[in-house]
Amino acid sequence: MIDLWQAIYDTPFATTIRESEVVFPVIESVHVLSLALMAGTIAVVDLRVLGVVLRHTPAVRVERQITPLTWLGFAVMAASGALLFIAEAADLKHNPAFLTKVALLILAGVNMAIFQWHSRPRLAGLGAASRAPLAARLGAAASLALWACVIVAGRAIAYFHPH
Amino acid sequence: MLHTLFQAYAASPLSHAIRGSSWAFAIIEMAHLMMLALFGGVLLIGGLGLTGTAFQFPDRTGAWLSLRRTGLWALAGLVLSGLLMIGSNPMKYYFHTAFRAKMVLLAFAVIASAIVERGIRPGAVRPILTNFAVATALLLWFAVAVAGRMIGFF
Repeated sequence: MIDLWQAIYDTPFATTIRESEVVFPVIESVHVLSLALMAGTIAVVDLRVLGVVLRHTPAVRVERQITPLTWLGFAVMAASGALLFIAEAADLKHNPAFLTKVALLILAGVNMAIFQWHSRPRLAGLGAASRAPLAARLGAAASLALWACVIVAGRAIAYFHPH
Repeated sequence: MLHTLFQAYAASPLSHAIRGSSWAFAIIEMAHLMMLALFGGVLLIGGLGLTGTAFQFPDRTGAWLSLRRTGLWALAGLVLSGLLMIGSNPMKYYFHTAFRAKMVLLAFAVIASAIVERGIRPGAVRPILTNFAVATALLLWFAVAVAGRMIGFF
C-alpha cells in the first residue's frame, strides 16, 4: 500500500521547499503572520460579543465588517499551511502537535459554524447596549480558547519535529 | 552600556533558569505569539477604523479608545514575553542583526503610534495627517513582526 504522506514528501516540489534556505522560512513566516491576522480579528469579534471592546457598536455590525479580513487571513494561512504540509508530510504524520492542531482547527471551524447559524441571527436584533445571549457569549469564550490552543499546538510542532 | 546590561542579564538566575529548562522557551514563545495575534488584531481594526477606510464605526475615536486598553494589555504581554525570550540567550540577541532591526523598528512604531494618539485629540491634527500616521504605524508594526520572525531563521 502506498504511503500517501511519504509520497507527497518525496515529490520534487516538496523537496524544493524543504531544502531551500529562503523559501521555507518565508512560507513559515507568512503562515504565522496570517494565522495571527485570522486569530487576532476573530479575537476582536469574540471580545465584542463578550462585551469587552467596542461596546458602542452592535456586535453584528462589528462581525460583518471584520469577517472579510478574517477570511483573508484564513485563505493565506490555509495556502501557506498546505505548502508547509507538503514539504514535511512524512515528518508530520506522527507529530502529535500537528495532529492536535488539525483537530483544534476542525473544532474551531465547527464553533464558528454554530455561531453563524445559531448565535448570529439572535445577535442581529440587538442594539449596541444589549448584552449578547449566553449561548453567544459561551461560543465567543470557546472561540478565544480554541484559537489560543491552535497557536500553542502550531508552535509546538517544531518541538516534536524529528530533526 | 547596553552590552553590559545584556551581559548582566545573561549572568542572572532568570536567564540561567530559562536556559536550563527544556520547555520554558517554548511556553514563552507560545505566549508571545498569542499576544502578537491579539495585538495585531486590535491594532489593525482600531487603526483602520480610525481612518474610516476599511471599517465604519459610529464613533471612530471611541472605537479606537475602546480597543486601546486591550491593545496595551497585549503589548505589555508581548514586551514581558519578549524580555523572557531574550533571557534564553541574551548575548545571541545582542549581536543578532534581525533583533537589532526589530528594536529600531519597534522604536519607530511606538513613535508613530504616539503621533496617532496626539492626532485623535479634537482639532489636533487634520484627518489626512492622522490617516498617514495610522498607515505608517501599521506598516511599522507589521515590519516589527516580520523582523521578529527573522530572528528565528538567521
